[in-house]
Amino acid sequence: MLSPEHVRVRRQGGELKLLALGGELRARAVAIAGELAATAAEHVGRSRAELETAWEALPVAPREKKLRQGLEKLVEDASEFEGGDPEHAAELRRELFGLATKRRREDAEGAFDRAGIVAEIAERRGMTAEAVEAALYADLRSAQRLVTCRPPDPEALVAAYERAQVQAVLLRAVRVVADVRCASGDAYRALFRQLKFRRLMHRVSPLDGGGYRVEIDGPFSLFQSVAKYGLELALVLPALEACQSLDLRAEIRWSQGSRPLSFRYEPAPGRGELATTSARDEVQELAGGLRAAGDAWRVAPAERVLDLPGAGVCVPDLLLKRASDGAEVLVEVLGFWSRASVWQRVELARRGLGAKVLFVVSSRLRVSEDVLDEDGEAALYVYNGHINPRAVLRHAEALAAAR
Amino acid sequence: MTVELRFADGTVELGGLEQGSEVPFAEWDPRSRCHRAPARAYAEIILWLRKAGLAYEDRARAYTELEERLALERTPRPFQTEALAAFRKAGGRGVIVLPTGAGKSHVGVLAIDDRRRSALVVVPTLDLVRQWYDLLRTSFATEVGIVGGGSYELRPLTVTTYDSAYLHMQHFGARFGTVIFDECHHLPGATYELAAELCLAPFRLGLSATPERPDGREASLLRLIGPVVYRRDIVELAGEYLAEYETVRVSIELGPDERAEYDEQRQIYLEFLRGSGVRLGSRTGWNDFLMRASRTAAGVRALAAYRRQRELALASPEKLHYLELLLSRHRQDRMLIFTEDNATAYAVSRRFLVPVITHQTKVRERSEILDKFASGEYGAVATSKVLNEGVDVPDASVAVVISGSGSVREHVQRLGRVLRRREGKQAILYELVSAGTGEAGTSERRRAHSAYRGAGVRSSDAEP
Repeated sequence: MLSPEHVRVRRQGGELKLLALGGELRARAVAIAGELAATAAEHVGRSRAELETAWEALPVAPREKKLRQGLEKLVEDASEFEGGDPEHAAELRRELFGLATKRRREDAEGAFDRAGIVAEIAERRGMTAEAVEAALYADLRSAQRLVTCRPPDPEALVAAYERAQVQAVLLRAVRVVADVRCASGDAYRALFRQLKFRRLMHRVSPLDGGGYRVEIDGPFSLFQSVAKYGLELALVLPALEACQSLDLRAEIRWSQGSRPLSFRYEPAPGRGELATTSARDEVQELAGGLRAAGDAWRVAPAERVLDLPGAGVCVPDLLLKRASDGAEVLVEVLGFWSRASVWQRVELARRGLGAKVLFVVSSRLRVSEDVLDEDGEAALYVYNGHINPRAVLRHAEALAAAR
Repeated sequence: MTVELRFADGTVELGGLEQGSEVPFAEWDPRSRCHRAPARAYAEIILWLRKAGLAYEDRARAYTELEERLALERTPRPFQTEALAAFRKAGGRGVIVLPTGAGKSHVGVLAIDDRRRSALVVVPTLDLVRQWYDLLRTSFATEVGIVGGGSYELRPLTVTTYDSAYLHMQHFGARFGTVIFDECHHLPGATYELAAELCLAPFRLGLSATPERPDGREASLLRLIGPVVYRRDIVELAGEYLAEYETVRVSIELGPDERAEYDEQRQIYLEFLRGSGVRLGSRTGWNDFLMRASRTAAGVRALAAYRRQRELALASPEKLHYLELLLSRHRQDRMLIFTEDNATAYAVSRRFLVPVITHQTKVRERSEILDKFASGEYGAVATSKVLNEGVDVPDASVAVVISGSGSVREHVQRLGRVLRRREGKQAILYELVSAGTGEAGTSERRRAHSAYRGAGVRSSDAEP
């Protein structure tokens, strides 16, 4: 991951904007990436300090300096370094410094024969004086040897730099507001799972025209705009990018003590890994079975996120709409998920989901349908073996009939 | 109605109160549909609930009574007893200001014993983690937890660093009833402050020799810890409780080649400053310089020139030659050698074959170096900044400051490292300053403290 120091930005009013790598500068970026990678390849077997000095000597214009540092970081990330044996170095230091103290104290004049002391240690250890000098601090980071370096080609390296910049900016975010739209419940679920895993807090509200606005920050953000959650917000970015569409705005505390700046990121639609992911096989199979079961209920992918502040989020997979009166029942297929996830849904249902929801659960999870009363907003359908579409419809009828 | 208190990631959630209820320090949180307060306000909220006569269930508090009693009873010095009494009188919240070497840590141990709650000690460096770990183990004869430096072990008595406390307090902030912020001048600031905000501990003690900060943010210690409840100055305790000391500023001329290069590089740097209209004395001066320097080739040259002239002044060959004389003169004493940067510390180590402690030194090797230094097996230790604070080296009697920042606090702390009292000990601090360079002004700034005035202070440009 890049750090904010590697990012090329400019402030425009209250906004923080990434500087695009266009035209000539992009060509320069590719050239610099190539030079850095080639220099690293030449330095395999040599020290990190030597590599850094060689990189520093590559001529770049002042405005290209950050770009070079960011690309250096990415080449470093694709490299492997090996340090000297710290035990061996520490042992040598112990012996050498102990002898030096002794010799200094022994001399009545306080004279200090450095070369003589090094030679004495070298002789004791069967080494040359030069080898002693080299091994003395061989365990420092600057002395680490470059073992391998396999960066991607220069074009790919520059593309990686551009992507990594957004994440680096979010390291200083105090709050993120993301307008997202997902192709399936699974993608929404993956997003909310990430938010929960990162211990972030959110508020969800539906957007006109579909999708949701998710406001994300941390528990303490209620009292103060803090960048403490920046790392978590940055780490959530891949889950946000995995949505079919994303329009992200963030408040960024770019420098200490300054007022937050706004930042916007809107990647091209459908670029996320899960953007085109359709529903799970079992959900698709169930949808097919429900359609084949007759015209009384229409089946469509659900696009609703049921958020219960303080309790959790429920993301149904399918929407069933009764043809005769338009009554709606949402279906979430939990299948073989954990018992804990079932109990979490039960808790949500008891608090009131604000919609009629049928949870479809495998009997392997050893949960009884009686846990939820079908007179309420939600019900459990526990199946044995395969999900029976007709049984789902029976439960849907019962739920629709409930007040 | 029963109010339910929960610790949630460094905050306290209050379930069961209606939206619109007025709760001190708390706000209604629409994200979780309950009231929420910073964990710091826990004690005040409990007092408010009691006063309001509201029933509550406390699921937030996870700290325990401390079972262990002090196993090692050391008779406190009179001022330590007074400090503890002042802390107690302030309800177990406050800052105690005592000079380095006066035994602040012992006051901390007494406070933990007095409050009898599981306790967390937050310190700035891994060396201080090690030192507090040893102190708590021997004082309470029990195992002590460490969070930081690759360890994550929580126990009723735990030591951590400010960095780790900032990162992890949201997870373990409910487990301690007493928190001690050692060298608490580090606490104010956008990040470390959260270590105090996200901690539930009702009892809070700050320890420092120099709580004042150049940015004036020490005012927030009142909110994060409590008021200054006790204060004693270095000159009040010198002689009786601290070692007698002398400070010597040695003015050292650059060699002819270095002088010529210094003047040339400084000229390049100053000309750029004049040309670009940057005023370094202003609040944003340094940042303005860095920003302008990154834009043009002349700026890049000016920044390089600035660094080179500074390097020549801070680590001139003549200073190292003078250090050689001091090492010879004090070869039977214990000497700490301070530098501004790691490169100089390693250069000193290589040239004079003395051990060095920097942030890169592994914990085990640090411990071994300090043990050997204490036992006399090593006569000198070089360091950049990591030994500035708190580390207890009672046998050290000579400090040599080869280079440093303009910070008064840093300079007082460095002096403090050799002030721990021993019978017949006369401490001495040498400050080596390159004559006719910008370093002379830096030296003036850092000596603006009572510890550097008075009879024991002299300047010299002669042989030691």
